[in-house]
Amino acid sequence: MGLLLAFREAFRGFWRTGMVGLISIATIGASLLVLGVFGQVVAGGYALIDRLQERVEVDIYFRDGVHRRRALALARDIEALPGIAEVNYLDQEAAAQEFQDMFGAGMLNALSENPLPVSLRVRMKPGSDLPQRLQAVSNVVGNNKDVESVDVGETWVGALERFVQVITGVGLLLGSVLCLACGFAVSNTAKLMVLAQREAIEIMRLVGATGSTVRLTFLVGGAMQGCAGGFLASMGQSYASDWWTARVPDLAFDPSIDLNFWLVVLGTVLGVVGSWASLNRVLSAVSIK
Amino acid sequence: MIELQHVGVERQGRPILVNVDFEVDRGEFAFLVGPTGSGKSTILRLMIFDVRPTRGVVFVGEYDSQSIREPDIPYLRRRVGVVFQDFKLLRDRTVYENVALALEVTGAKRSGVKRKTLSILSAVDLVHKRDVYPDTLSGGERQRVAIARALVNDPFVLLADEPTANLDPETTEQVMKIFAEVNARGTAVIMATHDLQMVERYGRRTLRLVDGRIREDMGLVKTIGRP
Repeated sequence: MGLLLAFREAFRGFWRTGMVGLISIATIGASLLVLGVFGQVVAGGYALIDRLQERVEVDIYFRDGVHRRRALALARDIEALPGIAEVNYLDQEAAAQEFQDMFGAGMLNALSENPLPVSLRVRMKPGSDLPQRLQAVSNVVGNNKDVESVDVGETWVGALERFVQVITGVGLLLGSVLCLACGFAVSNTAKLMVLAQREAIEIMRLVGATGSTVRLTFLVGGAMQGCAGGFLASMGQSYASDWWTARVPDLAFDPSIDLNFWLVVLGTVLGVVGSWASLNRVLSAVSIK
Repeated sequence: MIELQHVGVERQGRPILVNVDFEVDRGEFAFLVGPTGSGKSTILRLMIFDVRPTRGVVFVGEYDSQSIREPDIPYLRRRVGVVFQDFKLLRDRTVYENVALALEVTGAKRSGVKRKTLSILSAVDLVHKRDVYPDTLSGGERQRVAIARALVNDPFVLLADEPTANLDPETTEQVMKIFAEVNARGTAVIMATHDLQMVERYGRRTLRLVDGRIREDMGLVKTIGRP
């Protein structure tokens, strides 16, 4: 009965706030929509980074005349490191074949002997600690006297890492600001709801409603508004996602996150928190007269 | 049952009540009389702990103003019915909804709410108007709705703050008749009023309040027109 009463009174309160209540829902919806779209952009950015990191390779070139057994020993040492997807050994023939596949046979045929060195090609697993793992490979290789040179894509990997950090920081900052905006919108509406329901609150208290019964009414009201705002945001976000995916499929949003569900949950939570924040202050001003 | 011991109330340094002492027993009917601003409403608000005394103690049932905790106040108010001059009805709710609200906030079951609400509306002869809104009712009918709401939880005391001030003599008689019936069933009634003629006509215990002090506590002085 308590919850039923709270829902009924919340509906009445919302009805009384009229246009202000609708504007509040629209504000919550717009804030959450921006948050949702940005969240998907960040998620898409991470997915892109993962895909790029899968392509990160380290090429280790050996000095001329290195023995196959010694090269394979180094390959095993590298394979033992964490975060290594695979290590491939390329002898001179395999390197020549690869060169011919890429550039044609003409250039190599002009030479009297195969100049391409024996090499190891290391593919890394994606992950945020990629720079550290690349450094670990460099350390292992750097101590090996058979190695002539190492080609690590460190520069762009580092830049990518910094880009991800910036995106994450901006995301957190923007997310916090938008969450505050949502909470502020809901708390203001809750205040208006309390004022619109002032007479009802006064009478409910007069006839023996507990503080929690009165509070529950407004928390349910806040939750309803937040939920409605979250639902609006999720609809807008779905539309934005479809629009983006159709135009930029390579940067499609991460489908593993059910952002629509979480937008509704976040809206509801913000609605409850926003109402709670304003209730104590406003309710204390309402007394039986 | 209800007792005020050396009660004083101040607001912004100004005394509203000064050393007020009286006791009302179970089943008693008492008028609280005095001019406007004499502190009658403050005394009634003290009895539902909406106002706390600056000095002294207020005892209501098993509670007292010194030890009652804030969360206990709603439970006390469920056992104290209150009626006001301005009715305090919610205009966007029907007669039934206004009365049922007093039961719903207690967490009563829906079937019980319906049965008790219709029963009390029947007692104040308003069951046929249960689906109408307060704005369409006369002053007397509105006051009967407010009385029904005050009584629906079977209070041990009914506090009435100038309940007949806005009513014509005929309607006043109807309201006083209801109070008499309620009182006859064992519910104490404390009625604040400034209408001394009415008090004389009904001849009940009378507490006269002047400048925040109880000047006279008269027992049953007349029996003419006794409710």
